[in-house]
Amino acid sequence: MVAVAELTATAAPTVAPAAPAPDDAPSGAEGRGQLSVRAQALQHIVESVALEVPRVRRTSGSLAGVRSGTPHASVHVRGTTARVSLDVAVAWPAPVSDVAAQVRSAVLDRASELSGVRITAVDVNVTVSGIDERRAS
Amino acid sequence: MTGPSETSVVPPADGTREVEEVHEDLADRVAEAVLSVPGVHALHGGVLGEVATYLPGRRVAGIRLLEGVTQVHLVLDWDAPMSATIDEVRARVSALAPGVVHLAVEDVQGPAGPAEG
Repeated sequence: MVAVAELTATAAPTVAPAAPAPDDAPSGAEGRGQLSVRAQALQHIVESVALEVPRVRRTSGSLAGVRSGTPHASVHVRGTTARVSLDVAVAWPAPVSDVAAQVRSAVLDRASELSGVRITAVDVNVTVSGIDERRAS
Repeated sequence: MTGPSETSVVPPADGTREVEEVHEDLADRVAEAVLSVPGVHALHGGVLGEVATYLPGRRVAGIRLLEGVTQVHLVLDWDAPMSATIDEVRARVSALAPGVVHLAVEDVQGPAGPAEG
């Protein structure tokens, strides 16, 4: 029921018109107009969902904005499905693989549910933040 | 007398003002209705600010009223279920503006959103 601009989230200058819904939506909204969702919107949903997972912490960008903060999602949309690549940071010490698995399932379930876009794959890259400060002390 | 379907013809000078006032009123009411839906964070004027209703002295961003078509560009809260929110927006706009309602979710505002990121 939702079409997303077929562009990566970092460069989405246009909005794609929605296709008629093949999905399970009981909305009855079809035929009354189009819906388009910018990939940027999906990206921010995914990032917000990741931030809800316990132990995931927000990090700010550095290097004058060259490196973006986390969580940072990169969304590749094809039709009504999307692939997500996601960078998250966890606080030291943390069970990294557990957190990664939680992030992955949270994005698959919650972000798909919230956005109406079927997310088919989630790649999670976990970095551990706070180590540098501990080494320095 | 001309029927309602003839209003698209450019009216004389006196009529122009009337049409504008009707549109002004409608754009404001549509904007108000959209923003009253839970989960709608804001209206969005598009990347270049091109989505708007232009009125004398001001503009209503995110709403575009065309012949038989109403375009609404908006920003949702990230934790709003998109399809339910969109349906509600569509219902409220349809009640005000006749014709088709095209919706565009330009962005999502949330804890990881642009304003705080």
